[in-house]
Amino acid sequence: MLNSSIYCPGESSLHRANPLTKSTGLFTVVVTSFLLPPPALWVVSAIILLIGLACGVGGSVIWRYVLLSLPFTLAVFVFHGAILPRSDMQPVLGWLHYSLTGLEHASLVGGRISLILASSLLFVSTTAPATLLRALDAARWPPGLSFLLASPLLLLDQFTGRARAISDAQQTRGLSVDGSPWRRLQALRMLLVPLLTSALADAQERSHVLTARGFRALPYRTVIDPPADTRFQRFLRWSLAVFMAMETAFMVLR
Amino acid sequence: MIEVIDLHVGFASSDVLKGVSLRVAQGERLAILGGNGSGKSTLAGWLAGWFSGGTHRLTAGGCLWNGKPWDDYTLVERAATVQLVGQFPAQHISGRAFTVAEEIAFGPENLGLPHEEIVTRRDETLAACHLEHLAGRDPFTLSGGEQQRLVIASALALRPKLMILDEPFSNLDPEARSHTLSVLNALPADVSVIIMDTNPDTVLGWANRLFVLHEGKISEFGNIRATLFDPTVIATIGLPAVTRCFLEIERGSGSAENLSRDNLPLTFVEAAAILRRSRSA
Ligand SMILES: Nc1ncnc2c1ncn2[C@@H]1O[C@H](COP(=O)(O)OP(=O)(O)OP(=O)(O)O)[C@@H](O)[C@H]1O
Ligand SMILES: [Mg+2]
Repeated sequence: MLNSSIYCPGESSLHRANPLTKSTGLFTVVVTSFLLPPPALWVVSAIILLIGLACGVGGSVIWRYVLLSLPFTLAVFVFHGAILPRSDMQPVLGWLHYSLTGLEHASLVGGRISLILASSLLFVSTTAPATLLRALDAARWPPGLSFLLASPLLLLDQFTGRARAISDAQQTRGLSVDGSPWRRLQALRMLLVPLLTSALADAQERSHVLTARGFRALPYRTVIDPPADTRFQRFLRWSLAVFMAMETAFMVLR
Repeated sequence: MIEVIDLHVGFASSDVLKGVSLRVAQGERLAILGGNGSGKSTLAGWLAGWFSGGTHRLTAGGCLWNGKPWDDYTLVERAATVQLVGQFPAQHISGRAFTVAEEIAFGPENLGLPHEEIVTRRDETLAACHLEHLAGRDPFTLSGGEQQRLVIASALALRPKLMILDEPFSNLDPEARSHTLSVLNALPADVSVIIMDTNPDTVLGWANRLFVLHEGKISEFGNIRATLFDPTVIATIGLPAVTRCFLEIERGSGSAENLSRDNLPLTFVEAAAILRRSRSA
Protein backbone atom coordinates (compact mmCIF):
# COMPACT_ATOMS: atom_id res chain seq x y z
CA MET A 1 0.00 0.00 0.00
CA LEU A 2 2.76 2.37 1.04
CA ASN A 3 4.87 1.25 -1.91
CA SER A 4 2.30 1.62 -4.60
CA SER A 5 1.26 5.09 -3.56
CA ILE A 6 4.68 6.74 -3.13
CA TYR A 7 4.91 7.69 -6.78
CA CYS A 8 3.76 11.27 -7.37
CA PRO A 9 3.07 12.03 -11.02
CA GLY A 10 4.80 15.11 -12.34
CA GLU A 11 6.54 16.74 -15.27
CA SER A 12 9.95 17.62 -13.78
CA SER A 13 13.11 16.62 -15.62
CA LEU A 14 13.67 13.97 -12.97
CA HIS A 15 10.22 12.52 -13.73
CA ARG A 16 11.00 12.47 -17.41
CA ALA A 17 14.47 10.96 -17.07
CA ASN A 18 14.83 7.32 -18.08
CA PRO A 19 14.35 5.07 -15.03
CA LEU A 20 17.60 3.29 -15.82
CA THR A 21 19.49 6.59 -15.53
CA LYS A 22 17.75 7.30 -12.24
CA SER A 23 18.51 3.87 -10.83
CA THR A 24 22.16 4.18 -11.90
CA GLY A 25 22.22 7.53 -10.09
CA LEU A 26 20.66 5.91 -7.04
CA PHE A 27 23.28 3.14 -7.00
CA THR A 28 26.05 5.72 -7.35
CA VAL A 29 24.74 7.58 -4.31
CA VAL A 30 24.57 4.33 -2.32
CA VAL A 31 28.16 3.38 -3.21
CA THR A 32 29.41 6.90 -2.60
CA SER A 33 27.76 7.01 0.82
CA PHE A 34 30.40 4.53 2.00
CA LEU A 35 33.17 6.99 1.16
CA LEU A 36 31.76 10.28 2.43
CA PRO A 37 32.56 11.62 5.92
CA PRO A 38 29.64 12.29 8.32
CA PRO A 39 29.08 16.02 7.68
CA ALA A 40 29.02 15.49 3.91
CA LEU A 41 26.48 12.67 4.30
CA TRP A 42 24.03 14.97 6.05
CA VAL A 43 24.66 17.85 3.63
CA VAL A 44 24.07 15.64 0.58
CA SER A 45 20.91 14.21 2.21
CA ALA A 46 19.64 17.78 2.60
CA ILE A 47 20.51 18.58 -1.02
CA ILE A 48 18.56 15.52 -2.18
CA LEU A 49 15.51 16.56 -0.16
CA LEU A 50 15.81 20.02 -1.76
CA ILE A 51 15.92 18.44 -5.22
CA GLY A 52 12.71 16.63 -4.24
CA LEU A 53 11.13 19.99 -3.41
CA ALA A 54 12.27 21.40 -6.75
CA CYS A 55 10.70 18.44 -8.55
CA GLY A 56 7.37 18.92 -6.83
CA VAL A 57 7.56 15.73 -4.75
CA GLY A 58 9.06 17.41 -1.66
CA GLY A 59 6.05 16.92 0.59
CA SER A 60 5.72 13.21 0.03
CA VAL A 61 9.49 12.62 0.19
CA ILE A 62 10.12 14.72 3.28
CA TRP A 63 7.39 13.36 5.52
CA ARG A 64 8.30 9.80 4.65
CA TYR A 65 11.95 10.64 5.22
CA VAL A 66 11.21 12.05 8.67
CA LEU A 67 8.84 9.23 9.56
CA LEU A 68 11.28 6.51 8.56
CA SER A 69 14.63 8.00 9.54
CA LEU A 70 13.80 9.79 12.80
CA PRO A 71 13.27 6.74 15.03
CA PHE A 72 16.32 5.04 13.59
CA THR A 73 18.56 8.11 13.86
CA LEU A 74 17.49 8.71 17.45
CA ALA A 75 18.11 5.08 18.37
CA VAL A 76 21.57 5.10 16.74
CA PHE A 77 22.60 8.29 18.53
CA VAL A 78 21.34 7.11 21.90
CA PHE A 79 22.86 3.66 21.57
CA HIS A 80 26.29 4.63 20.22
CA GLY A 81 26.54 7.97 22.00
CA ALA A 82 25.26 7.13 25.46
CA ILE A 83 24.73 3.42 26.04
CA LEU A 84 27.48 1.40 24.36
CA PRO A 85 30.48 1.56 26.74
CA ARG A 86 33.47 3.34 25.18
CA SER A 87 36.82 4.46 26.57
CA ASP A 88 36.04 8.18 26.25
CA MET A 89 32.76 8.19 28.18
CA GLN A 90 32.18 11.60 29.81
CA PRO A 91 29.65 12.20 32.57
CA VAL A 92 26.91 14.70 31.71
CA LEU A 93 24.35 14.58 34.45
CA GLY A 94 24.01 11.98 37.19
CA TRP A 95 24.04 8.57 35.57
CA LEU A 96 23.98 9.95 32.01
CA HIS A 97 27.26 9.63 30.10
CA TYR A 98 28.20 10.39 26.54
CA SER A 99 31.05 9.47 24.22
CA LEU A 100 32.35 11.76 21.49
CA THR A 101 33.65 8.93 19.31
CA GLY A 102 30.34 7.17 19.82
CA LEU A 103 28.45 10.22 18.60
CA GLU A 104 30.76 10.50 15.60
CA HIS A 105 30.13 6.87 14.74
CA ALA A 106 26.38 7.39 15.14
CA SER A 107 26.55 10.38 12.83
CA LEU A 108 28.33 8.24 10.24
CA VAL A 109 25.85 5.34 10.41
CA GLY A 110 22.82 7.61 10.68
CA GLY A 111 24.09 9.81 7.83
CA ARG A 112 24.58 6.85 5.54
CA ILE A 113 21.07 5.57 6.22
CA SER A 114 19.69 9.07 5.82
CA LEU A 115 21.38 9.52 2.45
CA ILE A 116 20.32 6.12 1.13
CA LEU A 117 16.78 6.67 2.37
CA ALA A 118 16.46 10.19 0.94
CA SER A 119 17.75 9.17 -2.48
CA SER A 120 15.61 6.02 -2.61
CA LEU A 121 12.52 8.03 -1.72
CA LEU A 122 13.34 10.57 -4.40
CA PHE A 123 13.75 7.73 -6.89
CA VAL A 124 10.47 5.98 -6.12
CA SER A 125 8.43 9.16 -5.92
CA THR A 126 9.55 10.30 -9.36
CA THR A 127 9.46 6.89 -11.08
CA ALA A 128 6.21 5.13 -11.95
CA PRO A 129 6.66 1.37 -11.40
CA ALA A 130 5.19 0.68 -14.83
CA THR A 131 7.78 2.93 -16.48
CA LEU A 132 10.61 1.25 -14.61
CA LEU A 133 9.43 -2.15 -15.81
CA ARG A 134 9.13 -1.01 -19.39
CA ALA A 135 12.64 0.44 -19.19
CA LEU A 136 13.99 -2.88 -17.87
CA ASP A 137 12.17 -4.81 -20.60
CA ALA A 138 13.39 -2.44 -23.28
CA ALA A 139 16.94 -2.91 -21.99
CA ARG A 140 16.29 -6.66 -22.34
CA TRP A 141 16.65 -7.51 -18.70
CA PRO A 142 15.33 -10.98 -17.90
CA PRO A 143 11.50 -10.76 -17.67
CA GLY A 144 11.52 -12.78 -14.45
CA LEU A 145 13.52 -10.11 -12.66
CA SER A 146 11.16 -7.31 -13.60
CA PHE A 147 8.22 -9.49 -12.57
CA LEU A 148 9.80 -9.92 -9.17
CA LEU A 149 9.81 -6.14 -8.85
CA ALA A 150 6.31 -5.58 -10.15
CA SER A 151 4.16 -8.22 -8.57
CA PRO A 152 4.57 -7.18 -4.93
CA LEU A 153 3.55 -3.66 -5.87
CA LEU A 154 0.48 -4.91 -7.67
CA LEU A 155 -0.53 -7.78 -5.46
CA LEU A 156 -0.07 -6.02 -2.13
CA ASP A 157 -3.32 -4.08 -2.48
CA GLN A 158 -5.17 -7.20 -3.46
CA PHE A 159 -3.64 -9.06 -0.53
CA THR A 160 -4.62 -6.43 2.05
CA GLY A 161 -8.11 -6.32 0.54
CA ARG A 162 -8.45 -10.06 0.94
CA ALA A 163 -7.13 -9.97 4.51
CA ARG A 164 -9.82 -7.44 5.34
CA ALA A 165 -12.51 -9.55 3.66
CA ILE A 166 -11.50 -12.70 5.55
CA SER A 167 -11.36 -10.81 8.81
CA ASP A 168 -14.80 -9.30 8.17
CA ALA A 169 -16.23 -12.70 7.30
CA GLN A 170 -14.80 -14.21 10.48
CA GLN A 171 -16.12 -11.38 12.59
CA THR A 172 -19.62 -11.73 11.19
CA ARG A 173 -19.36 -15.39 12.14
CA GLY A 174 -18.54 -14.38 15.68
CA LEU A 175 -14.73 -14.36 15.86
CA SER A 176 -13.70 -11.64 18.28
CA VAL A 177 -10.73 -9.57 17.17
CA ASP A 178 -10.46 -7.25 20.12
CA GLY A 179 -9.93 -7.91 23.77
CA SER A 180 -6.78 -9.19 25.40
CA PRO A 181 -3.55 -9.40 23.41
CA TRP A 182 -3.83 -13.19 23.59
CA ARG A 183 -7.28 -13.10 21.97
CA ARG A 184 -5.92 -10.84 19.28
CA LEU A 185 -3.05 -13.19 18.60
CA GLN A 186 -5.56 -16.02 18.23
CA ALA A 187 -7.57 -13.92 15.78
CA LEU A 188 -4.42 -13.18 13.80
CA ARG A 189 -3.64 -16.88 13.53
CA MET A 190 -7.18 -17.54 12.32
CA LEU A 191 -6.66 -14.84 9.71
CA LEU A 192 -3.26 -16.03 8.52
CA VAL A 193 -4.22 -19.60 7.70
CA PRO A 194 -6.86 -18.81 5.05
CA LEU A 195 -4.78 -15.89 3.80
CA LEU A 196 -1.67 -17.99 3.23
CA THR A 197 -3.46 -20.99 1.73
CA SER A 198 -5.34 -18.77 -0.68
CA ALA A 199 -2.14 -16.91 -1.56
CA LEU A 200 -0.43 -20.22 -2.33
CA ALA A 201 -3.31 -21.42 -4.49
CA ASP A 202 -3.26 -18.08 -6.30
CA ALA A 203 0.48 -18.24 -6.85
CA GLN A 204 0.22 -21.66 -8.44
CA GLU A 205 -2.69 -20.62 -10.65
CA ARG A 206 -0.96 -17.40 -11.63
CA SER A 207 2.22 -19.20 -12.59
CA HIS A 208 0.14 -21.33 -14.97
CA VAL A 209 -1.44 -18.19 -16.38
CA LEU A 210 1.92 -16.52 -16.93
CA THR A 211 3.31 -19.57 -18.70
CA ALA A 212 0.16 -19.84 -20.82
CA ARG A 213 0.52 -16.22 -21.90
CA GLY A 214 4.08 -16.88 -23.04
CA PHE A 215 5.84 -15.17 -20.15
CA ARG A 216 9.54 -16.12 -20.23
CA ALA A 217 8.92 -18.22 -23.34
CA LEU A 218 11.53 -16.01 -24.98
CA PRO A 219 14.54 -14.43 -23.27
CA TYR A 220 13.21 -10.94 -24.08
CA ARG A 221 9.89 -9.27 -24.75
CA THR A 222 8.77 -6.54 -27.11
CA VAL A 223 7.93 -3.29 -25.34
CA ILE A 224 5.38 -1.22 -27.16
CA ASP A 225 6.08 2.10 -25.48
CA PRO A 226 9.60 2.14 -24.04
CA PRO A 227 10.46 5.18 -21.89
CA ALA A 228 12.39 7.88 -23.73
CA ASP A 229 16.16 7.60 -23.67
CA THR A 230 18.84 9.99 -24.95
CA ARG A 231 22.44 9.73 -25.98
CA PHE A 232 23.35 12.02 -23.10
CA GLN A 233 21.63 9.73 -20.59
CA ARG A 234 23.38 6.69 -21.98
CA PHE A 235 26.68 8.54 -21.67
CA LEU A 236 25.79 9.56 -18.11
CA ARG A 237 24.97 5.98 -17.16
CA TRP A 238 28.28 4.67 -18.46
CA SER A 239 30.18 7.45 -16.71
CA LEU A 240 28.43 6.72 -13.42
CA ALA A 241 29.17 3.02 -13.83
CA VAL A 242 32.87 3.74 -14.36
CA PHE A 243 32.83 6.09 -11.39
CA MET A 244 31.21 3.43 -9.18
CA ALA A 245 33.79 0.88 -10.31
CA MET A 246 36.57 3.30 -9.34
CA GLU A 247 34.97 3.97 -5.95
CA THR A 248 34.64 0.25 -5.30
CA ALA A 249 38.26 -0.37 -6.31
CA PHE A 250 39.36 2.45 -4.00
CA MET A 251 37.39 0.99 -1.07
CA VAL A 252 38.80 -2.49 -1.62
CA LEU A 253 42.43 -1.39 -2.05
CA ARG A 254 42.41 1.27 0.63
CA MET B 1 -7.65 -30.53 -33.44
CA ILE B 2 -7.59 -31.53 -29.80
CA GLU B 3 -8.03 -35.11 -28.77
CA VAL B 4 -8.48 -36.43 -25.27
CA ILE B 5 -7.79 -40.11 -25.05
CA ASP B 6 -9.06 -42.07 -22.09
CA LEU B 7 -7.94 -39.46 -19.57
CA HIS B 8 -7.76 -40.72 -15.99
CA VAL B 9 -6.89 -38.03 -13.48
CA GLY B 10 -7.21 -37.94 -9.73
CA PHE B 11 -6.03 -36.29 -6.57
CA ALA B 12 -4.37 -38.00 -3.67
CA SER B 13 -7.67 -39.20 -2.23
CA SER B 14 -10.03 -39.55 -5.17
CA ASP B 15 -10.35 -40.03 -8.92
CA VAL B 16 -11.94 -37.11 -10.72
CA LEU B 17 -11.82 -38.05 -14.39
CA LYS B 18 -12.30 -41.75 -14.98
CA GLY B 19 -11.66 -42.28 -18.65
CA VAL B 20 -12.65 -39.16 -20.56
CA SER B 21 -12.35 -39.28 -24.34
CA LEU B 22 -13.16 -36.38 -26.58
CA ARG B 23 -12.30 -35.18 -30.04
CA VAL B 24 -12.83 -31.56 -31.02
CA ALA B 25 -12.40 -30.59 -34.66
CA GLN B 26 -11.36 -27.16 -35.92
CA GLY B 27 -14.05 -24.55 -35.58
CA GLU B 28 -16.36 -26.55 -33.34
CA ARG B 29 -18.28 -24.79 -30.58
CA LEU B 30 -18.55 -27.13 -27.65
CA ALA B 31 -20.34 -26.88 -24.33
CA ILE B 32 -19.44 -29.21 -21.50
CA LEU B 33 -21.97 -29.19 -18.68
CA GLY B 34 -21.48 -30.65 -15.25
CA GLY B 35 -22.44 -30.07 -11.64
CA ASN B 36 -20.15 -28.68 -8.96
CA GLY B 37 -17.16 -30.90 -8.44
CA SER B 38 -17.80 -32.92 -11.58
CA GLY B 39 -14.29 -32.12 -12.82
CA LYS B 40 -14.92 -29.34 -15.35
CA SER B 41 -12.04 -27.18 -14.17
CA THR B 42 -9.78 -30.22 -13.96
CA LEU B 43 -10.61 -31.23 -17.52
CA ALA B 44 -10.21 -27.64 -18.72
CA GLY B 45 -6.72 -27.51 -17.22
CA TRP B 46 -5.68 -30.76 -18.88
CA LEU B 47 -7.12 -29.69 -22.23
CA ALA B 48 -4.99 -26.55 -22.07
CA GLY B 49 -1.90 -28.51 -21.08
CA TRP B 50 -1.59 -26.70 -17.75
CA PHE B 51 -1.16 -29.72 -15.56
CA SER B 52 1.31 -32.43 -15.97
CA GLY B 53 2.36 -32.90 -12.40
CA GLY B 54 1.85 -31.26 -9.06
CA THR B 55 -1.07 -32.46 -7.01
CA HIS B 56 -2.74 -33.96 -10.08
CA ARG B 57 -2.22 -37.64 -10.60
CA LEU B 58 -2.46 -38.83 -14.19
CA THR B 59 -3.11 -42.56 -14.16
CA ALA B 60 -3.82 -43.14 -17.83
CA GLY B 61 -4.48 -41.42 -21.12
CA GLY B 62 -3.64 -37.90 -22.18
CA CYS B 63 -4.32 -34.99 -24.51
CA LEU B 64 -3.02 -34.47 -28.01
CA TRP B 65 -3.03 -31.32 -30.10
CA ASN B 66 -2.74 -32.23 -33.79
CA GLY B 67 -1.43 -35.62 -32.77
CA LYS B 68 1.28 -34.49 -30.34
CA PRO B 69 1.12 -33.97 -26.56
CA TRP B 70 1.41 -30.39 -25.29
CA ASP B 71 4.86 -31.11 -23.88
CA ASP B 72 6.17 -31.49 -27.43
CA TYR B 73 5.35 -27.88 -28.27
CA THR B 74 7.41 -24.85 -27.27
CA LEU B 75 5.91 -22.37 -24.82
CA VAL B 76 5.57 -19.82 -27.62
CA GLU B 77 3.66 -22.30 -29.79
CA ARG B 78 1.42 -23.22 -26.90
CA ALA B 79 0.64 -19.61 -26.00
CA ALA B 80 -0.36 -18.92 -29.58
CA THR B 81 -2.42 -22.12 -29.80
CA VAL B 82 -4.46 -22.59 -26.66
CA GLN B 83 -5.82 -20.17 -24.08
CA LEU B 84 -7.74 -21.07 -20.96
CA VAL B 85 -9.97 -18.52 -19.25
CA GLY B 86 -10.30 -19.77 -15.72
CA GLN B 87 -13.18 -19.75 -13.33
CA PHE B 88 -11.78 -17.10 -10.96
CA PRO B 89 -10.79 -14.04 -12.98
CA ALA B 90 -8.74 -12.38 -10.24
CA GLN B 91 -6.35 -15.34 -10.31
CA HIS B 92 -5.96 -15.01 -14.06
CA ILE B 93 -4.67 -11.48 -14.11
CA SER B 94 -0.96 -11.56 -14.83
CA GLY B 95 0.17 -9.33 -11.95
CA ARG B 96 2.61 -7.75 -14.37
CA ALA B 97 0.51 -4.98 -15.87
CA PHE B 98 -0.52 -1.74 -14.26
CA THR B 99 -3.37 -0.97 -16.64
CA VAL B 100 -6.01 -2.88 -18.56
CA ALA B 101 -4.37 -1.95 -21.88
CA GLU B 102 -0.99 -3.25 -20.65
CA GLU B 103 -2.60 -6.47 -19.45
CA ILE B 104 -4.01 -7.14 -22.90
CA ALA B 105 -0.68 -6.34 -24.56
CA PHE B 106 1.20 -8.53 -22.05
CA GLY B 107 0.81 -11.83 -23.94
CA PRO B 108 1.66 -10.48 -27.39
CA GLU B 109 4.66 -8.64 -25.91
CA ASN B 110 5.92 -11.90 -24.44
CA LEU B 111 5.81 -13.52 -27.86
CA GLY B 112 8.14 -10.83 -29.17
CA LEU B 113 5.69 -9.82 -31.91
CA PRO B 114 6.40 -6.70 -33.95
CA HIS B 115 5.45 -3.40 -32.36
CA GLU B 116 2.60 -2.50 -34.74
CA GLU B 117 1.09 -5.98 -34.51
CA ILE B 118 0.87 -5.71 -30.72
CA VAL B 119 -0.71 -2.26 -30.84
CA THR B 120 -3.26 -3.43 -33.42
CA ARG B 121 -4.17 -6.50 -31.41
CA ARG B 122 -4.43 -4.50 -28.20
CA ASP B 123 -6.69 -1.86 -29.70
CA GLU B 124 -8.86 -4.35 -31.58
CA THR B 125 -9.33 -6.49 -28.50
CA LEU B 126 -10.09 -3.50 -26.28
CA ALA B 127 -12.80 -2.47 -28.72
CA ALA B 128 -14.19 -5.95 -29.31
CA CYS B 129 -14.54 -6.65 -25.60
CA HIS B 130 -15.98 -3.22 -24.77
CA LEU B 131 -13.09 -2.36 -22.48
CA GLU B 132 -12.00 0.91 -24.04
CA HIS B 133 -13.41 3.03 -21.22
CA LEU B 134 -11.39 0.98 -18.71
CA ALA B 135 -8.12 0.97 -20.69
CA GLY B 136 -6.22 3.04 -18.13
CA ARG B 137 -7.53 1.34 -14.99
CA ASP B 138 -5.56 -0.93 -12.66
CA PRO B 139 -6.79 -4.49 -13.42
CA PHE B 140 -7.11 -5.36 -9.74
CA THR B 141 -9.53 -2.50 -9.13
CA LEU B 142 -12.04 -3.76 -11.72
CA SER B 143 -15.29 -5.42 -10.70
CA GLY B 144 -15.58 -9.20 -11.02
CA GLY B 145 -17.41 -9.04 -14.32
CA GLU B 146 -15.02 -6.47 -15.73
CA GLN B 147 -12.09 -8.66 -14.70
CA GLN B 148 -13.75 -11.61 -16.39
CA ARG B 149 -14.02 -9.65 -19.62
CA LEU B 150 -10.42 -8.52 -19.27
CA VAL B 151 -9.20 -12.11 -18.87
CA ILE B 152 -11.17 -13.13 -21.95
CA ALA B 153 -9.70 -10.17 -23.85
CA SER B 154 -6.15 -11.00 -22.75
CA ALA B 155 -6.61 -14.55 -23.98
CA LEU B 156 -8.09 -13.42 -27.30
CA ALA B 157 -5.18 -11.04 -27.90
CA LEU B 158 -2.96 -14.10 -28.32
CA ARG B 159 -5.20 -15.23 -31.21
CA PRO B 160 -5.40 -18.86 -30.06
CA LYS B 161 -6.70 -21.73 -32.19
CA LEU B 162 -8.44 -23.23 -29.17
CA MET B 163 -10.23 -21.20 -26.51
CA ILE B 164 -11.36 -22.91 -23.33
CA LEU B 165 -13.60 -20.96 -20.98
CA ASP B 166 -14.39 -22.27 -17.52
CA GLU B 167 -17.77 -20.92 -16.35
CA PRO B 168 -17.17 -17.60 -18.11
CA PHE B 169 -20.66 -16.29 -17.47
CA SER B 170 -20.87 -16.64 -13.71
CA ASN B 171 -19.78 -13.02 -13.12
CA LEU B 172 -21.43 -11.45 -16.14
CA ASP B 173 -24.68 -9.56 -16.39
CA PRO B 174 -27.13 -10.68 -19.11
CA GLU B 175 -25.93 -8.05 -21.54
CA ALA B 176 -22.27 -8.95 -21.04
CA ARG B 177 -23.17 -12.63 -21.45
CA SER B 178 -24.73 -12.21 -24.82
CA HIS B 179 -21.97 -9.84 -25.82
CA THR B 180 -19.30 -12.38 -24.81
CA LEU B 181 -21.08 -15.03 -26.84
CA SER B 182 -21.16 -12.74 -29.84
CA VAL B 183 -17.43 -12.03 -29.42
CA LEU B 184 -16.82 -15.78 -29.39
CA ASN B 185 -19.04 -16.22 -32.43
CA ALA B 186 -17.10 -13.55 -34.28
CA LEU B 187 -13.85 -15.54 -33.91
CA PRO B 188 -12.36 -16.89 -37.14
CA ALA B 189 -14.06 -20.05 -38.36
CA ASP B 190 -11.06 -22.26 -37.63
CA VAL B 191 -10.98 -21.44 -33.90
CA SER B 192 -12.47 -24.11 -31.65
CA VAL B 193 -14.21 -22.94 -28.49
CA ILE B 194 -15.02 -25.04 -25.46
CA ILE B 195 -17.20 -23.65 -22.69
CA MET B 196 -17.58 -25.37 -19.33
CA ASP B 197 -20.76 -24.50 -17.47
CA THR B 198 -23.10 -25.76 -14.79
CA ASN B 199 -26.18 -24.48 -16.50
CA PRO B 200 -27.47 -25.09 -20.04
CA ASP B 201 -29.31 -21.78 -20.48
CA THR B 202 -26.60 -19.49 -21.81
CA VAL B 203 -24.76 -21.94 -24.05
CA LEU B 204 -27.81 -23.53 -25.68
CA GLY B 205 -28.33 -21.57 -28.92
CA TRP B 206 -24.58 -21.18 -29.22
CA ALA B 207 -23.06 -24.66 -28.98
CA ASN B 208 -22.86 -27.10 -31.91
CA ARG B 209 -22.22 -29.97 -29.55
CA LEU B 210 -23.17 -30.58 -25.97
CA PHE B 211 -21.39 -32.89 -23.54
CA VAL B 212 -22.18 -33.79 -20.01
CA LEU B 213 -19.55 -34.56 -17.42
CA HIS B 214 -20.88 -36.77 -14.67
CA GLU B 215 -19.18 -39.10 -12.21
CA GLY B 216 -15.88 -38.84 -14.02
CA LYS B 217 -17.25 -39.75 -17.43
CA ILE B 218 -18.14 -37.54 -20.35
CA SER B 219 -21.09 -38.32 -22.59
CA GLU B 220 -22.76 -37.00 -25.70
CA PHE B 221 -26.10 -38.65 -26.38
CA GLY B 222 -26.33 -38.30 -30.15
CA ASN B 223 -27.62 -34.75 -30.24
CA ILE B 224 -28.19 -31.79 -27.95
CA ARG B 225 -31.87 -32.59 -27.32
CA ALA B 226 -31.22 -36.20 -26.49
CA THR B 227 -28.48 -35.13 -24.10
CA LEU B 228 -30.65 -32.63 -22.27
CA PHE B 229 -33.56 -35.04 -21.82
CA ASP B 230 -31.44 -37.88 -20.55
CA PRO B 231 -32.79 -38.73 -17.06
CA THR B 232 -29.40 -38.55 -15.33
CA VAL B 233 -28.71 -35.21 -16.99
CA ILE B 234 -32.10 -33.86 -15.88
CA ALA B 235 -31.30 -35.03 -12.38
CA THR B 236 -27.85 -33.38 -12.24
CA ILE B 237 -28.07 -30.17 -14.23
CA GLY B 238 -31.78 -29.79 -14.85
CA LEU B 239 -33.63 -28.61 -17.92
CA PRO B 240 -33.20 -25.15 -19.43
CA ALA B 241 -35.39 -22.48 -17.80
CA VAL B 242 -37.52 -22.03 -20.93
CA THR B 243 -38.19 -25.75 -21.18
CA ARG B 244 -39.13 -25.98 -17.52
CA CYS B 245 -41.50 -23.09 -17.97
CA PHE B 246 -43.24 -24.78 -20.92
CA LEU B 247 -43.53 -28.06 -19.04
CA GLU B 248 -45.19 -26.18 -16.20
CA ILE B 249 -47.68 -24.56 -18.57
CA GLU B 250 -48.32 -27.90 -20.28
CA ARG B 251 -49.26 -29.49 -16.99
CA GLY B 252 -51.83 -26.79 -16.26
CA SER B 253 -53.61 -26.57 -19.59
CA GLY B 254 -53.67 -28.21 -22.96
CA SER B 255 -52.08 -26.04 -25.62
CA ALA B 256 -52.44 -25.91 -29.35
CA GLU B 257 -49.40 -28.06 -29.98
CA ASN B 258 -48.68 -31.39 -28.46
CA LEU B 259 -45.40 -30.76 -26.71
CA SER B 260 -43.04 -33.62 -26.00
CA ARG B 261 -39.32 -34.20 -25.67
CA ASP B 262 -39.05 -33.96 -29.43
CA ASN B 263 -40.40 -30.44 -29.75
CA LEU B 264 -40.33 -28.76 -26.33
CA PRO B 265 -38.47 -25.48 -26.76
CA LEU B 266 -34.92 -25.31 -25.42
CA THR B 267 -34.18 -21.65 -26.14
CA PHE B 268 -36.08 -18.39 -26.19
CA VAL B 269 -36.06 -18.40 -29.97
CA GLU B 270 -37.74 -21.79 -30.12
CA ALA B 271 -40.23 -20.81 -27.42
CA ALA B 272 -41.16 -17.62 -29.26
CA ALA B 273 -41.80 -19.60 -32.46
CA ILE B 274 -44.15 -21.98 -30.64
CA LEU B 275 -46.04 -19.14 -28.99
CA ARG B 276 -46.40 -17.32 -32.28
CA ARG B 277 -47.80 -20.45 -33.93
CA SER B 278 -50.25 -21.13 -31.13
CA ARG B 279 -51.43 -17.53 -31.18
CA SER B 280 -52.11 -17.55 -34.90
CA ALA B 281 -53.84 -20.95 -34.68
N1 LIG C 1 -6.04 -29.57 -5.55
C1 LIG C 1 -6.98 -30.47 -5.27
N2 LIG C 1 -6.78 -31.43 -4.33
C2 LIG C 1 -7.72 -32.35 -4.05
N3 LIG C 1 -8.91 -32.41 -4.68
C3 LIG C 1 -9.18 -31.51 -5.62
C4 LIG C 1 -8.24 -30.48 -5.97
N4 LIG C 1 -8.79 -29.72 -6.94
C5 LIG C 1 -10.02 -30.23 -7.17
N5 LIG C 1 -10.25 -31.30 -6.39
C6 LIG C 1 -11.47 -32.13 -6.40
O1 LIG C 1 -11.68 -32.60 -7.71
C7 LIG C 1 -13.06 -32.58 -8.03
C8 LIG C 1 -13.28 -31.82 -9.33
O2 LIG C 1 -12.91 -30.48 -9.15
P1 LIG C 1 -13.15 -29.39 -10.26
O3 LIG C 1 -12.61 -28.11 -9.75
O4 LIG C 1 -12.59 -29.87 -11.55
O5 LIG C 1 -14.74 -29.34 -10.34
P2 LIG C 1 -15.67 -28.38 -11.19
O6 LIG C 1 -16.53 -29.25 -12.04
O7 LIG C 1 -14.87 -27.36 -11.87
O8 LIG C 1 -16.59 -27.73 -10.07
P3 LIG C 1 -17.23 -26.26 -9.97
O9 LIG C 1 -18.47 -26.26 -10.76
O10 LIG C 1 -17.52 -26.13 -8.53
O11 LIG C 1 -16.21 -25.31 -10.47
C9 LIG C 1 -13.78 -31.97 -6.84
O12 LIG C 1 -14.36 -33.00 -6.10
C10 LIG C 1 -12.68 -31.31 -6.05
O13 LIG C 1 -12.97 -31.37 -4.69
MG1 LIG D 1 -14.72 -25.37 -11.74
